[in-house]
Amino acid sequence: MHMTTIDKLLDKYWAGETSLNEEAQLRDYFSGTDIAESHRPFAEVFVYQNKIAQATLPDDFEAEILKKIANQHTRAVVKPITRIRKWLAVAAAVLFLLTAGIFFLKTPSSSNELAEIPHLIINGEVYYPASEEEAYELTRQALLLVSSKMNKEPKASIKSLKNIKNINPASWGK
Amino acid sequence: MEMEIYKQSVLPLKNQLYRLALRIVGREDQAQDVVQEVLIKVWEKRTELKGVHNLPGYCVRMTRNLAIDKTRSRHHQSTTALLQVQHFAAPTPTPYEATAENDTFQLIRSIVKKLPEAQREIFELRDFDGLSYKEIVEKTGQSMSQVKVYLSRARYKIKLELINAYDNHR
Repeated sequence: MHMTTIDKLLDKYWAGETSLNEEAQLRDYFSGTDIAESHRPFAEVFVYQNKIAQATLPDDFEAEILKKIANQHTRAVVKPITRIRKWLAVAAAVLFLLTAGIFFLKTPSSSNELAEIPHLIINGEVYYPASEEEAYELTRQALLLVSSKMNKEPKASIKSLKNIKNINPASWGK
Repeated sequence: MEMEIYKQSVLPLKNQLYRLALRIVGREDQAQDVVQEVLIKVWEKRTELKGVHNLPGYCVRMTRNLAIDKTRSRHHQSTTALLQVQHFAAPTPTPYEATAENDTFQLIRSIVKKLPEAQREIFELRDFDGLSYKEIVEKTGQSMSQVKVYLSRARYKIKLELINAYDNHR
């Protein structure tokens, strides 16, 4: 290629005005052997561009990755539960049973006078239901109250709790 | 992500990721290690990645981060190695010769690395990825004139640095 052509192309290149095609011409020129002395300092940038543009992974690279993934998968499936993990599970179960046992054994023995009369504590207030039906209804309303609080509509349920109070006022409070 | 989707949308990115890694680490073996690590990690994280919209973008970011980590750990290794052999007073090659042996393109990579972020991004998109000006405008959100200004500033700096390095070497 004529030297003045290359000089013109280089000037355009430094100014950011070359087309993709002209840039390819420059890369071709610099990857050849016939480079003018005055152009030598600039060879590195164009040779490097060529090298990067042409860089590709080896053909078997993808197969290697898939093989590694497959190996990993079988390893994960075969991996046995270690003895330590089994014993940890047993220990956790025993701990749970012990805690539950202590809880249930302790509850009736607590010498609270409230414990002698059937009662419910709802929203900080003590209720003494007269019958099983009423206890059931109170429990149901209490659960409704909780669920409604979660739904941010507390008023309706508090009202229905008060309605029960009105049905059988004699059985409330101490 | 099933294997078929992985094969269709992740594995085909491999050469693009390789070129990116190669630009950062400068060595083919290490760039291959980076890509391998990224591709295997993406497979391992496939359930978490179901919600990721731009999977290629995610892979590119991961590759860049891992490649940068790699250059940092290599820098650490080479400094320790250098300290250990120093007192043997062997005829040490000049920096230019040393880089020419291990890493032919260290000079241009270090020049590009020193460019301001915006200039470097546009230079890389144009001269390494071969994008058209229009594609660069779309990708960066910069105006056409701004893209050309950044590109010419980057190239002028590279020109000056290359001339300096060449004169110093002679």
